[in-house]
This record gives sequence, structure tokens and C-alpha cells, in this order.
Amino acid sequence: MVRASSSGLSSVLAGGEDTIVARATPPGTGALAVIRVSGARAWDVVRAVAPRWEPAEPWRAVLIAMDVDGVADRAVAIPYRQPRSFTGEDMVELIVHGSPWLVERALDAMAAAGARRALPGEFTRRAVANGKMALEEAEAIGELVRAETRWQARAAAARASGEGARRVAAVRDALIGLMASVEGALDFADQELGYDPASVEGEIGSLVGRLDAMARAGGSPAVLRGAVRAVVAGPPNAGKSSLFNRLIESTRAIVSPRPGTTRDTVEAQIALEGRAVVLVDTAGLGIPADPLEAEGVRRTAEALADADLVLLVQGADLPEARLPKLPRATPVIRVLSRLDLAPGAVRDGWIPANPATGEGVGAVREALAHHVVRLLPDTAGEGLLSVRAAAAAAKAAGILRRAPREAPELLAEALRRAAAVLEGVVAPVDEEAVLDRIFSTFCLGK
Amino acid sequence: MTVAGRYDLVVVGAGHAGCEAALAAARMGLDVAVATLDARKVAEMPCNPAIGGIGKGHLVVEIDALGGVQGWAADRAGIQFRTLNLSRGPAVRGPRAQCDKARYTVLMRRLLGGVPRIDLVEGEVVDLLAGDGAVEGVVLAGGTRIAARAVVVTTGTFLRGLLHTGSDRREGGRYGEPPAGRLSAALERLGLALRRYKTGTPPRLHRDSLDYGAMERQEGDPDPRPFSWRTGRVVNREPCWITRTPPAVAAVIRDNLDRSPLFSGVIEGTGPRYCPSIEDKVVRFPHHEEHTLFVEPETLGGESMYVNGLSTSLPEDVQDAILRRVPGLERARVLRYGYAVEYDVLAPGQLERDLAVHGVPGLWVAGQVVGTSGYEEAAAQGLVAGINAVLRLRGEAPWVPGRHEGYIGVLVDDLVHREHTEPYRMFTSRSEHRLLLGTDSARERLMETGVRFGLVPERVFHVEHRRWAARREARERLESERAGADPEARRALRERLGVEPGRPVTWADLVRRQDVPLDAVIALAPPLTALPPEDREIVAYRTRYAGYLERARRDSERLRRLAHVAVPEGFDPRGVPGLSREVVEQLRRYRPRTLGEAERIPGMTPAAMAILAAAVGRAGEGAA
Ligand SMILES: Nc1nc2c(ncn2[C@@H]2O[C@H](COP(=O)(O)OP(=O)(O)O)[C@@H](O)[C@H]2O)c(=O)[nH]1
Ligand SMILES: [Mg+2]
Repeated sequence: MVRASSSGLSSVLAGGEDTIVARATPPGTGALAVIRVSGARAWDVVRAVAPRWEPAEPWRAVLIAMDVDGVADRAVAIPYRQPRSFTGEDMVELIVHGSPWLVERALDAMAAAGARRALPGEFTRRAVANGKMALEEAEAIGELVRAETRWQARAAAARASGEGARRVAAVRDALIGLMASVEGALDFADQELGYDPASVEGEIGSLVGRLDAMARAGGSPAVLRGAVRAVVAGPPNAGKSSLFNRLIESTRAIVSPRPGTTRDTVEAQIALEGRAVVLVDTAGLGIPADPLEAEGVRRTAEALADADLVLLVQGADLPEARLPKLPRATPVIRVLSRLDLAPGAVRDGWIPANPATGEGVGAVREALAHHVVRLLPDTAGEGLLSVRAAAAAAKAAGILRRAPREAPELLAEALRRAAAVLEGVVAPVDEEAVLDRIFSTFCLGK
Repeated sequence: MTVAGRYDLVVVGAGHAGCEAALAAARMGLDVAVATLDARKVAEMPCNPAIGGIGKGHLVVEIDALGGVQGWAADRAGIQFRTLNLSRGPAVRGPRAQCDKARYTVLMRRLLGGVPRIDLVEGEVVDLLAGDGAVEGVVLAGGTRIAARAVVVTTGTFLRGLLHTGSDRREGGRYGEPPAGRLSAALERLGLALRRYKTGTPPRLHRDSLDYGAMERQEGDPDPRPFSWRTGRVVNREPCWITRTPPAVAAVIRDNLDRSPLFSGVIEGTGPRYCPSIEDKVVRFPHHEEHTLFVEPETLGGESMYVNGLSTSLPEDVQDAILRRVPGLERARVLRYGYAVEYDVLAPGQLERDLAVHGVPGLWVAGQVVGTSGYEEAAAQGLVAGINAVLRLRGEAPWVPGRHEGYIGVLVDDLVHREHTEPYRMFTSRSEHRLLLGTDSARERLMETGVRFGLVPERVFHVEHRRWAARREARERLESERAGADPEARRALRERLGVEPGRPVTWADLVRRQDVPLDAVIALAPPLTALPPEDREIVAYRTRYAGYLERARRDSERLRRLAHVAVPEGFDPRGVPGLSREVVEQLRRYRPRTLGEAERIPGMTPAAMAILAAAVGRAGEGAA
């Protein structure tokens, strides 16, 4: 019944029976490297490089003697017995010395012994296939691997812990329940199976509530991005680029006394309080003098539309710049520069600073840190969902809100569309899932 | 060894599937032998004496539009006609007829007897004649051979049938009838996998032993409508009765559960969850104080009454104890006790798209032996198998009804491509095109196909065609004609619809207004009153739901495009990198012909679909 072909679903191919092997640490020379082996023959295969190893006890690290292409070395082996392993299969993690040559030869030897080189992501896919983790968790693990700041790593870890998956499962459950109520009333009208509009309305309300929560768990753009975009704006020559360079502690942006020096936007990432901040320097606000400057102003407007936070730099001696209307409740940090050129112009709520000398930049950094912590709160990691999941939830909630109530068969169509939208986020809701629920919930049968 | 003759087609079994298969094939020009255990028992109703219902009624109307006979017979044998979901839109309305099962059998026997190309042969088919891997006929018990170019097996619940009442267990296909065990073995010798299913029936009670004052009377529709285009008018002849099991019944059942073969583990077959036994209901829903029972006549004015809802395989004394506690049934005289039947069915994954058995040329299957339940599901398959046997013998392309064309397409597609773990029954929720598959549009969808096969006379199609044109015209008039054009008409709107037309409105505007009762607009709008009564509501609903129907059509188009991407003949999923072993196995088992079919296969993930689509695209390029 739900047959919308979904797109972009990470592959959840079921695991095969063959044994796979791959290097788990990044390629290149390092002190140590980790080789992972998973599959029914995992323990056997490792003996291709450690002939004398007799794996006895699972989940216990042991020092083993390796023989790789005639080179003797030592390694640490941790054997896992299925289903208590990452993939749910028998596994071995081998910690070897990080010589690329040694690792490659060891992988070759294990491949010759019957293992297959794993495809990218295959270990995680097997974990999903074997029910060790939900799809959302698998995606989160991908993000965890790519995390650059402590906050990102924590958020991904929270998701990987399954909170997001539980939330998603609850939505699916509620959706199936609702569909069972409506479809059941349609298909079993002869069995006094009631269609109580009020209780169905209640179920819709609670499902919409869950979906909204899911959409919100997708978080603000900053949360979804795992980084705060802070855009520096203000009139030309106010010292934006100077401030930008001070904050990133490097001279990425060109600073010059000529107004309109910065044309394109310049970005750089810094860490504040363990959180990523992408600083964006812009051409500035004001009336453009030439087409090139006009383009710079247009890009400034674009950058502002995407900003989580604005650093408004106003030169005390310069004409007042007007910020365009900002979307949402974008916080603005106001910095008053060039006070040395217009002494006594201090204003309430503005941080006095001289970007050229660095005076007052510490206070700006502090204000920035304060907002960044608010935008990326510690709690945001809990139940965090991917952009895709959150967007699908928002869309499904919209469909349910607008669903026609005048006839159950029309409402049922809307429910099916909502289920189709959620496919790929929740496990597919097909007619068998709905019928299962009908049969387990209602006493049927003439 | 005697040879009973040479035929084009042998149909094994004369139930609902067998009758449709034989009649369609004979009317399409084949010489047909129908082999059955007992020539008197044609198109029996061993379970509920009714045809139709929600989903099932849809099938009956589609069978009729294609030129099948089930609806025709139900109209004539009908005792009481009711449309289920009458308060809802046409998509989910399910016509149902309580039938005189004896008359139904007589009608069907006469119908078969009236076709010169059909011979009814009495005997048990014990083997299939297989030469060179293709089926060439059947062997009857006693050794008689019937040669044929094709065989359709429609043996219902008879394959290794085993009847249970309490601990009493006897072989049989239905009450008082022997099973057909040897055919099961023959199918297994052909390499086919079988599995066990189970179904049950309630006790039959003597009409004169019931207290009707203690039961609720259930009448048929005030304006009963026939299933078939062959029928002018139908009438309600007898009511049904409703009663409920009190809590005391649950207690009796709980006390005797150890004596139920269902719970003692004697019955191994899987029964349908939508049609559980009373002992199942009591165990699974302990908090339900009452269970509704429908008491239905098995024949018009005849002595046997069917207790719908009391299906059971408990021992006879327990059945007596239950009945004694049900209002209206306290002094019931039992004509036949309820029993469960276990039987062999073909495991899923062994069918071609036209219901031919994969890997056994010349063999088709239809009906309960395929794993379905219900006379309607059986008849629909019989029709599909019969037509396709003819097409194959003529060397023509098979006819595979699409899911978008009707429930008959949903049924065939599900049976061919999906796993089932209990007897399969049609529900409207099985269709992703439900809004478009109401019984009101069945003839528009399928009658032309019936004409193409010579099963529906062309003149009938032309009459229908004019009717559809009139509906379309009425629909256009509703959209364009102003309601309340003059003061007189405005007064009618005010008084009969409670509408004060401030600005000009069309009739279609009024039809779509939720605060205006649809019935009242139908009675008032000239474009509708000009139509025959049965078409008025159809046009009104199509107008009212126009937006939803349009969207449903767009969705349907999209799915159909997917359905048309062909998987090349001989495509080997084993060579496709990235497909898991499970998916590869499923693909090899179900052999989808299109991506649409592949998507329906159990275990297919969207990711696997993407990989498959890419591989199929590459394979297509390679071939070109
Ligand atoms: N006197 C003074 N000069 C400043 C101050 N901030 C920036 N400048 C100078 O003003 C000129 C323009 O600075 P820049 O950072 O390029 O301004 P932007 O156009 O806003 O990016 C440079 O020569 C800076 O050294 C300040 O607070 N006081
Ligand atoms: Mg600049």
C-alpha cells in the first residue's frame, strides 16, 4: 500500500554470510592500526597471519605472535563471539603496528584465506542488518566518525545511543495504530468495528505531536549543522575583516583602508567552548559604488539570511549601517569600532573594540562564546535526528494536519501518504504491518 | 488402461475456482473436462453461505465485468442483499448477498451442463500425466487417463484434508467427503513445495429449534442492488439474526481449552487471523465480554441455520454447552457440529504471473489450493487461470490484470509476488489505488477486457458505454450549471438544502459543500435527477471527491511507470554487486518481470531497489 519509492535511504542491505576484512583506522603511517574481521570465519581467517593463535576466550584482548610474509611481529587480538559484537557476527579486532606495508600484506593474507575486503560502511550495514542498531543510529555513527568538535561528537554519540531511533520507532508505532483504526473501520464495517471520529482525532493529534517533536529534534539549523554560522556585517571600513582576523587568529581576510576591499565572503572555522563556529566575513552593508561591490552586497545579504548569529560592526565615525530584516530570532552582537576616531561615542549595549589593535576583542569573543553555547546547548544531542528525518517528520505532520476528515477513506489516503513520506526514516509501513495491528488489536471474525 | 478422452483442458475440482476456469475456457473455445469427486457437489459453500463483502464484493463485481458467473449466480441464489459501508463513499462499499447454497449449486451445475464443450467427469484425480516436463493430462483413481494440453488444479481444501472436532480426527476435504491425498504427492513429485493451512466452520442448527424473539433481526437493504449486468432486479427474501455470546460462554471455553485441537497442538496448519475460532477469540481477547454471532439461513426457508462467528473445533459436548448459554440458541438442535479442516496449499513463490505453476508447463492453479480463503478470491483466480490457459494454448501473450485495474490485479500480484503466512483474503487496504477501485467503476475498468476475450457480449458493452457517457455529461453539467438561477429555484435551495445562495453557485459547488446533505442535492440537481437512480450517487461522489480522485490517478500513473520498467528475461541478480544474499535469493525465487513487481517482493529494501534499478538499466543497455 505504501509504495512511494523513497530516495536517499542509506543502504541497509542485509549481511552476507561471507567474512569481511578491512583496516578500521585511517590509511597512512601511524603508531598503530586496527584491522577488523567480521563473519562466520573471522577467527579462522586471522590465523592466516597468526598461525599459532588459538582463540580461546572471547571478549578478552591477548598478545599474539604474527607472521606476515615472513616478517615476525606482535599484535593485540580481541576476538568477539556473535551476537555480542559490533556487527552481531563473530569478529576479531587486531591492533597491529601501523606500517602501511604490514597492514596491506596482512589484509592480503587474510583475503587469500577466504575473507573478502569489506566495502565502505559494510561493517555498519551488517550491524543494521543483524538488528544491532537502527538505521538512524548507523547514520549517527557515520557522523560520529566525521565529528570535528567535542560537541559534534557528543551529539552524534547521543544519537548513536538509540534515542533518536526510539523516537522514530514510537512515531511508526503511532502511525500504524492510527492506520489500523481507520483501515480497520473500513475493512471490517460488518463486524461492528467502530470508527469513532473523536478518538481518531485524538490519535491524529498525538501523532502530529510526536512528528512535530521529531521535526524539532532535528533542531535549529545550527544544531543540525553541528556548527554556528556567525556572519560579520557592518558598513565598509568599520573593521569587519580586522575583527574576523583577530577572532580566527590569522590573517585570512585582506585588511585595507580602502572601503570595499572585501568583495567575496570569506569563511573560517574556529572552536569555542568545544563547539564549532564558522565565521563569515562579508563585503559589508551600504550603497554599492560599482557592479562588483553590488555583487558583494548581494552575497552579504545571502550570508545574513543563513546566519545563526550576526556580528554587527559599526564604526563610531562612519554612517550608520542598517541590517536587513533577519529571519527568525537571530541574535546580534553589536560591536562599536573606531572609537579612537570619535571619542565619547560609546553606546549602551555595544561592545567597544578596536579591531585594528585588538583592544576589546576579548569581550567580543566572550559574547560570541556565550551565544554559541546557547545555540548549541548540551542537551541538543539527545534524540537528535538527521536533517532528512526531521524534514520528513515535518512534512508528514503537515499532511496529517491537512488530512480530510469528511470521510475515513479520504483520511486513510492521507495516512498512507504520510507513511510514504516517512519511509526511509521509519521502517516501511505496508498493508501487512497495518493488518497485523488490526488483527492484534481488534477482535474480528465472523 | 482406459482413456476417458482427449481435451484441451482438464479442470480438477468443480468449486468456485473450477467453475469459472472451466466456463471461461469453454466459452473461449476449448474442450474442457471438469474432474470432480462428486458431480452433485458443484460450487458448494462449505463455509459461510454468502457471496461478497468488503473487498470480496469488489472482486465479485470485477469478475462479473469480465464475464465471469459468480455474481450472476449470487444474484439468483440470493436471500438477503446488503451493501456494507453504505454510509461511506463508493470506493469502500462492499456488496454482499446471503445465498441459498443449494440453489447456488443447482444454478452452477446447470450452467456447466448447458455448455456443450464442458464434460463433467466424476472421479478422484490421483496423478498428473507429465511428458517431457510438460503436463499432458490427469490420471483418475482406477487408472483412467484424461489427456489434455493443459490442467488447472482447483482442489480447494481437499489436498490431504484433515477434519478436526475435539480429539476426533478424520481424513476429509469437507464434512462427509473424502480427501484427495494422492494429488498432493503428485505435486510434490513435480518438485512443488506445499504447506499446511487451516480453516474452520461453526455448527449448523435446526431452524425450528431457535428462539428468534431473543435475537435481533437484521434486514437486507431497502433498495437491494444486484452484482451482475445480467441481472435486472433482486429481492430480499429472508432476514438474518444477531445474537451475542455472554461471558458464561468464555468460561466454558476456557475450562475446555485442553480439549481443543487448536490449543492442544494437534492442528499444525496456520489459520486466518481475520476469521478466528471462538476459542481463539476468547483466549486472545479475554477482556471482551461478548462476541457477536450472526445466524444466517443456509437455504431459503430450509432447516439449516449457520452460526457465523462461532467457528470452532471444540468437542461436540463443549459445543452443546456453549450453545445452551447463547440467547436464542439455548434449545438449538445441532444438525452438524463445527469442525476445523487442515489442508495442503502451494507454498508462495512458485507461480508465474498468469497463475501458471513455475517450471511445470501446462499446469495452472487457482483457488484455496493457492493459499487463499473465500469463494470470491477462488472464483477470481479461476477466471484468470482459465483465460490464461486458453491464451497460452493459442500462443498469445498472457493476460495479467494490473494492480491499478482492480482487486483482481491486486490478488494475482500479491499471490505471485508476495509471501503469505495465513490464508490470503482480500481487503480494500491491500490496494494502493483504493479510491479508484470502487465497485462503481469496475465495468469501466474491466468490461472491455471481457469483450476482448468474448466473455461479455459487445452489445452489453455498448449499453454500458452509453451509460458512462451520460455520467460524464452529467458531471460536466454539474460543474457548469448554476443552482438557484431563478427565485423559484432559490426557494428550493433554501427550503430543501438550507442554503442561501449569496453569490452564484454551481451544482458542483453544492455537491462539494460538507454542510449540505449529499442526498438532498442529489434529489434536487437536474443534471443528477436526469440519470438512472443507481448512477446519481456515483456522479455525485465523483464530483465531490474530484480533487482526491485526481491525485489518486496521478499516483497511480507514477506507480504504473515503475511497473513498466522491464527486468530482462534471464536477468541474473547473482551478478549484481551490492545486492545482499537474501535479496538475491528472493529475486531468484519470485522472478519479477518489472521493477514494480520487484518492489513488492518481501525483503526488498529501497536501497536494494536502487541497486536493482541501476543493474536493470545497465542490462537493458547491454542488450540494446
Ligand atoms: N583607527 C582605527 N582604525 C581601524 C579600526 N578598525 C579597523 N581600522 C582600520 O580601518 C581600515 C578598514 O579596516 P577593515 O578591517 O578592512 O574594514 P572592513 O571594510 O569593515 O572589512 C583598516 O585600515 C583598518 O586598520 C579602529 O577601531 N580604529
Ligand atoms: Mg573587509
